[in-house]
Amino acid sequence: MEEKSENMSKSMSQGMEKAAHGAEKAAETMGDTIIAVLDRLAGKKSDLKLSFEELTLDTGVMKTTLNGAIVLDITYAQEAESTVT
Amino acid sequence: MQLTTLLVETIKSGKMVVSQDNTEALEITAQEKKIDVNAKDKDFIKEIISSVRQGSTEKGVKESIDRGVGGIKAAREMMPLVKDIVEDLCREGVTVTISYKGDKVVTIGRDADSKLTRLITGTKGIEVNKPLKLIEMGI
Repeated sequence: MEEKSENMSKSMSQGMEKAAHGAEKAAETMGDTIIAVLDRLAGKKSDLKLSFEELTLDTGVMKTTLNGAIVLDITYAQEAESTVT
Repeated sequence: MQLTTLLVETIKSGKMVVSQDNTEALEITAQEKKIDVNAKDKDFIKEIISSVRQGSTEKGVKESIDRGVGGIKAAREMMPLVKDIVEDLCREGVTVTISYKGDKVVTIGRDADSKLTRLITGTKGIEVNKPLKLIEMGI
């Protein structure tokens, strides 16, 4: 009986670990994709503008309404040459 | 609940417009668990797709075929994840539609119901409303 419940808890924790790993991988992939898209769209050649009209967001903890615009323009920093001799 | 469903559910109502160099490219409208993503600029969509695939759109025929084969492989690998996301959207009663210049092209989630797409994708949560427009968009 004790062995059975131990096995059950072991498989439950394995399942939870697998689900957490899956969520982590999905978030990582999504983050990488967003960075690649932003880099391409708001990078060297152009800029991106996000305009909001009464956009209501509700996270459960916080509710907010957005109006206005955000301009995304990525500028690439050049590596400074070292001046130390 | 999947991360994507959570993000979609966060947007309650309103409109967001994405413009590139002062040209409107995407219009996202949300209303009561329904989100419509209306693509207005084809080049913008193609640029997003190619940046997701990490490749350029300006390549030769061989590269284009290689990219196509790679795309099919990637789509097959992504299918279980996509199926999970779609079924989660259905469970939560959320519908996402993708339109091109105002015409509904794809429906994902609660309101989707297509026997043909179900045979291909294994889920009833994806419906292709206008296949020709989908091809035109380059998806």
